[in-house]
Amino acid sequence: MVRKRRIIGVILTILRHVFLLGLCYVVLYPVLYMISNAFKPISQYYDPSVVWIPRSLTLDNFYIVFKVMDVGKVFLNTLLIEILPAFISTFIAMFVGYGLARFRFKGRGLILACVILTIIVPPQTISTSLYSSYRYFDFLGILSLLHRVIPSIGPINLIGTPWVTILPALFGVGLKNGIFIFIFMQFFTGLPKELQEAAAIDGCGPLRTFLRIILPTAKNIIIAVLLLAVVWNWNDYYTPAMYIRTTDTMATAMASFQANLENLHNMGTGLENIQTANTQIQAAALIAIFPLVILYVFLQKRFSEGIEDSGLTGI
Amino acid sequence: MAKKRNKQYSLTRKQNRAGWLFVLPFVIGFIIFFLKPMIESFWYTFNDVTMGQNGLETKFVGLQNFRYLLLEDSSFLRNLWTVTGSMLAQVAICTILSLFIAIVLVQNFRGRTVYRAIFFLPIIMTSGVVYSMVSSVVGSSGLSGTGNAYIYSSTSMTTLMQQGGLPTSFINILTRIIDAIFSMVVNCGVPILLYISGLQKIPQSAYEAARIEGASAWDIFWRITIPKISPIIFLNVVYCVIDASTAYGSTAGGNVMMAAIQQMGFGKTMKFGMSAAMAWMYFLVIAVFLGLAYLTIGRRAAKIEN
Repeated sequence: MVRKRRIIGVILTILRHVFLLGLCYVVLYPVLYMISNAFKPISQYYDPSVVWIPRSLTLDNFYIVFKVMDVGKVFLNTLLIEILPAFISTFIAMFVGYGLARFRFKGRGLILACVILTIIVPPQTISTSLYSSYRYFDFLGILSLLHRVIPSIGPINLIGTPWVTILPALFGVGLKNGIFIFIFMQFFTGLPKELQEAAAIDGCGPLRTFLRIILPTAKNIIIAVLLLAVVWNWNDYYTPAMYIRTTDTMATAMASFQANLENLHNMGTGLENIQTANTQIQAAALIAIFPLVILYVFLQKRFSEGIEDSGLTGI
Repeated sequence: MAKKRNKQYSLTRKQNRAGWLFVLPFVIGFIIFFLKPMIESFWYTFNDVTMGQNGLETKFVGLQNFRYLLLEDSSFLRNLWTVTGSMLAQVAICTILSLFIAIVLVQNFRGRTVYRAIFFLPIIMTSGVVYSMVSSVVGSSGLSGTGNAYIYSSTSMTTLMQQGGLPTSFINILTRIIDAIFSMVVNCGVPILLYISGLQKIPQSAYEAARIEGASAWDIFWRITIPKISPIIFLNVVYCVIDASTAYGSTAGGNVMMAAIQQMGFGKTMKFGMSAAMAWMYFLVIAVFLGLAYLTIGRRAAKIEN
């Protein structure tokens, strides 16, 4: 009986590893493919005897990428247009999440419903009119009012400026901000109430309590949300393509990279031609995800711990 | 007595004020960047909208936009159908496959932290252009079902199999399956994470009690695990629906609806009203799915939680 059980145990272990290793291969394949091809001379790409490990390494692919795309500038643009808002929206989401979790104020249910609404409505639904309100931006009619007094002030054009991502982030409605608010809300709900009460008895105001007592307990969850925010913003194509257009972020630069590359090679369109430049495309993709991979490698442990003790899953 | 009530009153008022102070940024943002555009875009669906000197100019046309999209435009319904189909497939596979993976990963065995780190890796790659770039070259278009789907053909595997005398059709089927696995697993990052955190919170005592009562592993799974994590199943379904519906797409592949809406409004045609009508119909479809998910899973989950 015992022996039989042991045999079953060994078989299960082997099966488990086979299953997991197989899936790992599937997940890692594109990354390995990217790395392998990015450093490969293009002649070896067609050489069937070279599969994974190139016979010689080259940086030519990266050289061409730098020629097609102003990597440094794109990187700086992305920092300003996407990464700064990611930090801002995490910061704001913290406050909103805490407010929803810890204060039984009138209208709380309504606000919560609004948060959920921002999560489930796809951004395209409101993009048309959002575009026109950015085009003639008028902060709740305040700018028009000022226009009557000072004629030089009037609605401003925000299209093409970083404000189209920064402003919504400042007001808690940036990219996927609703999800962040929700995560923070779940986390703060799970914290013991005594923390807050003890601080209140000691004469701490709500804001001080939050900053001094509550936030230090939330380190992991903040890192988790920050990582998600940075990644999602970094990869976001829709917002910059819609409201910025003229300035390239990493995502929009990647989207037009193939076309630009073809122009450089003076090729037509078609699959074969894309294949010709494949090593260069892989090099570009590698550049685009490199910062994220580094970030992930350093934060991975805290990230999964953060989500795990977030109480996001509410049992 | 009166004093006490007074104190209580001021306490609620304090709670009120502090609460509103904390959520204030969101309230302002919601009104400016969400509610106003939302109402406006709903109004646009009934209008012919053009870009004028001082903002958009509207001309009321009734249900014209909807009539055109549903009856005359050949691509709208087809796109909607494609996107909905792949969304449904992705949601179903994602919620089930990631539960399976999470159950394996949550057990105690050597190397599980390494496995976890690898499985969460797609989180940083999935939501982007890079993913579609890599997968289009690697060749995975997976569930969306558009051409050039022979993913691992560049490796020696297929050649090896061909030389081994396996029929080409069989190899094709095999590569297609592997190809589909790729796009499935890659979307599972966040769901696996959520499942793991939920599974870890099920008290061991519940399992022990069941085992003492003589329940089989099968029973334990259906009677304890599934009910306990049903709130997370719901959460994951919602997450997957949103993830799939807002995924990146160009007119060639991926989420074609996203691209079509943008093209209609901001491509050559500049038909803002039509674009808004498309977006609203798309949103309605998503809302119906979320509603169905709530009715089938969410309500039950809420009951169990209470």
